[in-house]
Amino acid sequence: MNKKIGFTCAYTPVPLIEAAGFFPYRILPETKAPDQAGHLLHDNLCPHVKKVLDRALENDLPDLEGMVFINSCDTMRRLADAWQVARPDDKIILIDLPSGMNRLSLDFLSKEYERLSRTLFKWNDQTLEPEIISEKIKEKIFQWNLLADSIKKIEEKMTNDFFPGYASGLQQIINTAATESIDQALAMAKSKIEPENPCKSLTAPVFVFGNLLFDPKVYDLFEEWNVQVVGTDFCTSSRFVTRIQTGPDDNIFRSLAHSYLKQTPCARTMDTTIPGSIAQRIVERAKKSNAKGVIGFTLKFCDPYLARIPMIRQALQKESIPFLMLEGDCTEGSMGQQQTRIEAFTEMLEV
Amino acid sequence: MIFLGIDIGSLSCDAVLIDENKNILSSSVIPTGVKNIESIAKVKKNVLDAAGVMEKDILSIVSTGYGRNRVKERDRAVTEITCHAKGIKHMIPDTRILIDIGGQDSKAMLLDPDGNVVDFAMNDKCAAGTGRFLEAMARALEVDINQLGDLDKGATSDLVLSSMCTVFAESEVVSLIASGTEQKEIAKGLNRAIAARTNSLVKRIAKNTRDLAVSMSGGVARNRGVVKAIAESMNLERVNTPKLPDIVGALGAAIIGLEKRR
Amino acid sequence: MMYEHFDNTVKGIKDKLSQDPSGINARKKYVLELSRLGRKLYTKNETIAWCGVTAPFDLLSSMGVTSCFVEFVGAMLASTQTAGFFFEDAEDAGFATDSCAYHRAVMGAVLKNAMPEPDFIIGTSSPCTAGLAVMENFANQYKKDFFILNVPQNYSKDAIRFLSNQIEELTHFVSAHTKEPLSKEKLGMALENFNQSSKLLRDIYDLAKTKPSPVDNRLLRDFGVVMTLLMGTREGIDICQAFKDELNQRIKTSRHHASKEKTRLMWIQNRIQYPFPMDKMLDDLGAKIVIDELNTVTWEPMDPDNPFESIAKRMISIPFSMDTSKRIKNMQTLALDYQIDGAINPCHWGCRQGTGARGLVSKGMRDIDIPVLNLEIDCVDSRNLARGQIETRVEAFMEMLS
Repeated sequence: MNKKIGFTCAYTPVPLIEAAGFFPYRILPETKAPDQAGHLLHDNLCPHVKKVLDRALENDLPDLEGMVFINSCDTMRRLADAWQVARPDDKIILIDLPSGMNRLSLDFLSKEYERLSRTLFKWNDQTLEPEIISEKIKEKIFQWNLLADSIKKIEEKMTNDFFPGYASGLQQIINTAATESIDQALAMAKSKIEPENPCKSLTAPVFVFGNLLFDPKVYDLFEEWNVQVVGTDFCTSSRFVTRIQTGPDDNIFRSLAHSYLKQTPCARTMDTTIPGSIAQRIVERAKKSNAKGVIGFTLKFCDPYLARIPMIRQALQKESIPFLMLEGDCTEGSMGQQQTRIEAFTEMLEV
Repeated sequence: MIFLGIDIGSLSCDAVLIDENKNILSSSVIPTGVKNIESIAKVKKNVLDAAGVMEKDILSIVSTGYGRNRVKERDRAVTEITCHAKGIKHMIPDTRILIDIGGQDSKAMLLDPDGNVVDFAMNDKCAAGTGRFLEAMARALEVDINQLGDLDKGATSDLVLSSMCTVFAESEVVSLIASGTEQKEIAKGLNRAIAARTNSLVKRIAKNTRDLAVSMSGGVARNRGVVKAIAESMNLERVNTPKLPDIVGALGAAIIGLEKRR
Repeated sequence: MMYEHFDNTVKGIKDKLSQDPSGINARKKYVLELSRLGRKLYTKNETIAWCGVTAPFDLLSSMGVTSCFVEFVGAMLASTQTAGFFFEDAEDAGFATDSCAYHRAVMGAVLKNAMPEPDFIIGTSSPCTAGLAVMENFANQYKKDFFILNVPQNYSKDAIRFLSNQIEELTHFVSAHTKEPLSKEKLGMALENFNQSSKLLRDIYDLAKTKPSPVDNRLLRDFGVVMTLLMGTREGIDICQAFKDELNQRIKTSRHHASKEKTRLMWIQNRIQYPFPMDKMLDDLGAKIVIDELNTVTWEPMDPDNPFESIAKRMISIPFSMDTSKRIKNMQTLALDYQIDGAINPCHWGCRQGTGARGLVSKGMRDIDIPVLNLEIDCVDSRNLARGQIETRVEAFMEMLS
């Protein structure tokens, strides 16, 4: 037992993996494997993908039954390409992900998720009636929704009061769900929701957004540097735990497609009716979480974010919300280099 | 009542002692060296001796600079960004944009009329346009770093160095020398390149700089050529520099100590 | 500024044409039509759409829309050496130097009001993520309606239907702006033109395979990508015919012997856009680019009775936008067809889509014993160009091949 399916993107519908009898395993870009992905691809790719590929090249991975890739950006596509060379014996599937929400995109993504489900059951040598598959998926969705609800409660708690260590604790819960098990994550979440006395707030309540910030230690560093994280928006934070809205008669794949496309999307996903809506969304979330400032943290060479930072900066400026932009490369050292910037930012917010 | 500010930068370690009226009693600038603990002790001794006061008379010690957490006896550590703003507000009160080019990084700060930082930008990891960059260029030009500031006098061409990476720029300078380009033209080209880079840093925090007084701190502010090139690049009549640009951060740190005490 | 540039080019070529109608070569005709398109883009009262690279330009032109992909403008700015001016504006606004310079140049031009204001914007998810992002920035900046064509990577029935439906929706979107319904007849004509152009393109590429090849290092540079702007028109057919005639003429008169062919090369992806004497350098070294990766016809003829599906299939089947194994397969086929000795891959800084596959491409070509020279270069932003280094590497590569 304990057959794992690897994945790398927050648009991966993990309940489908579980319903097919596998454990989803998110390959986080955390490794001591040597830096060699650049040889197979190029060095100017985001460190997320490069480090995940380094793990594959160095076999720094648990046993995997297969890999699910999402065509969310060029770099993810290239990762799927390189995977076939790095680990030619792995089963892989690439799911196409439309860039925005409309009727056609929804139809298409529903079919893509259905294809994924079919493939996963096939990988596990199971042939089941569609109704049974649908029931199995619903069961798993129920569990993931429980986690999404718990995370929401913890986030609300963090927005209103300061609980030292909560930001990193929350990250640990999410990492556990992504790499260990949903049951374990649910148990961890339970203890965080229970009443606890808050501490005196730090002087700089900040909303943090970007692509990947998964190391719990970084959130502790933030606190050490006087940043009180009151809200986050990352592929590795609550964005990963998407609450799936389902009705009793809904097609389950459609519900999944709808929820993944609609909820707090990554910068690569757009609303054509409101171009640049990501900027407005970040302003709204910062305000809602009572943040005095916003810190953007993105990995180098991330095209979806690189292209949107100017409009985000402009929107925050318009609302007189101070903004600090940081760039990292998934190494511990890169965070240390940000200390002066972050501390200066909090000193600025204190005035 | 005496307040001490210490700024531990990558190239120099600076200290300032002030009284309760923010008068500078003494200051000292020494190279940071490899062992910054020793430099901290030495620079502290320098200012105490120069002012003729005892350590016990110091009411507060505020440290700043990248080595700020290495000062064990500090009452608080504050970043150089806040300290430079505080220091320049005291030295050149109408400053609204402060450019600080230090040993290993450069920064631009936007200040409100009260001298509080409202936004700032820092350069990337590389040393382009910083003190270390200029040291490398002085070496390539075979002049002393202190001579570099006046080296561009009389330059007439519109040469701009295209490389800003220290390594590439050094080889560009060498090849310009080899091709017979005059030293003053190269120096001017160098200053223009630094100015362009600095200007783009400023633009990140303030789109329109026309009515904002611009000042410069940090060791590079002593380099007249760079200061002039920055003014030209920003279309300004002048960029203000304090008499002692190296100690702006340490002075700001001392003032923060005084104000917090109150 | 750009209007004058295009206008002067049009006038210059037309003058020459009036003096000596037979003295105009194919490349000049091609430049003339592109300049006319450029001039139209910068003319008031035209319906203008800024688009992604793989947008269906034949369909759009049949609906009376003057359209172009923005990377074309990025390349124009680089070739006229005005891009530097715009990079600074884009970078000051926060567009990172790590981003693609085609896009950074046009964003700078938008911010400086140097781009014609579009009536609407059509983004395409292929070939690249950054290209679609820049389209969103355009829509946000100009406050204009925005349509996205999602081009799936998997070539499947569902994917083709998805894209085909989107293309049909696009026609409604365009009609809503032009207030003109889609004319099946005009579309049919555009597709017919496209088919004729495609057929001629195949002939041109077949002629280029001849040994020695009648092409030179300049003749077909960036031809395939840019021609998609014109292929749905009569002029597109004329240009293709002119190229075909010229190649036949060269073969007949052995003119191609003027350019040496010690080594036959493939150029991967796009060429370097700013003035850089790569062509001359290769000439001097006796090397000839006989094939550019993107100079290939990979689609079936368009079916005027089934236009949306035909266009959808065409868009999905471009190897450059597909997964890298298919892209490599296409390159391997080209390598064998054109009997090349080596390939040059200009690894355009900031390109995750094409350059991102650098290592895989090298490996794929090595598998068929074709060496690849990877040039770390920005094809649009010349500010960090290490010219000497590039020259040395190219020379050494040619020495190695010979």
